[in-house]
Amino acid sequence: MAEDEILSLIKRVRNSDEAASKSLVELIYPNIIRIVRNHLPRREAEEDLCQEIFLKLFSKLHQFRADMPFEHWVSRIAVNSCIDHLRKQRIRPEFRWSDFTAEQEAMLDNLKNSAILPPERSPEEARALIDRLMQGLKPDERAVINWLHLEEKSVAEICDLTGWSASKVKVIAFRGRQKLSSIVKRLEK
Amino acid sequence: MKDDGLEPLFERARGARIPVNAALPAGFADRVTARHQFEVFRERTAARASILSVSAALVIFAAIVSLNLNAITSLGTDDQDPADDVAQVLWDSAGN
Repeated sequence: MAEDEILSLIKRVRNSDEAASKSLVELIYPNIIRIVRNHLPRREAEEDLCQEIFLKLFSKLHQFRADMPFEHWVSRIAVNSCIDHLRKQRIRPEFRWSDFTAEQEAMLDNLKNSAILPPERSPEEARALIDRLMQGLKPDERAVINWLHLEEKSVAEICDLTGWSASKVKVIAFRGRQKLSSIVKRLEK
Repeated sequence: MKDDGLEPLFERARGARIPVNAALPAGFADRVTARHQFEVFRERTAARASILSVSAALVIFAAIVSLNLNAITSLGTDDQDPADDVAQVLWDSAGN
């Protein structure tokens, strides 16, 4: 949908047009669910969190000034809501070797011993292992590592998405990666 | 940071397909819209209630002040000594 059409839709939502509100939900849901799934390690609360994000979005809609694309504005709200949600959960698990699947154990072995992953290791298991290890990071570190090293976003893109400065993003990324590395090093059979 | 030994893991994980079912759950848009309208209604009701309570408090305050003013002014006239009026009449403007 073109930005002009989105703006007219927003105008109608601001005037309490119920049909326009539903259309807006349908339009931006795929973007929001993608952000939520990328940032939440557990799936059970994703619909509740999506609802919270939409309510926050509707309540702040009068603040949208069209000085940035609507999609960026939506993403920023969604990302900050995910980080807030993770902060509330305060999950800082202790990792034990037995918590991992056999394939994940093998991958950790490979990394610790040779820093090379044989081709037979599955990308999905690698992703699951990283998601599991990232539970030991702070929510903002987890988000930045995810964008930078998994989604391959640039620092500038992350700044756009979060409203943070480039130096803040770099510091968070550095700390996150250091922590992740020390988690792997501390893991012992 | 690339020499921390994690790069092969990230590289492999980037190839993972994340199953994203972006289809809207049934009734989700209705639920969100209904909750939003309820929140708006609640905020408006709260705003109206606070305006009403402030107005009521102002009216009560004004009534109390006006009652007190009446009492003060009427007390003022009753308290005036009639001898003052007599003295005003007896003494001329030059003070003789």
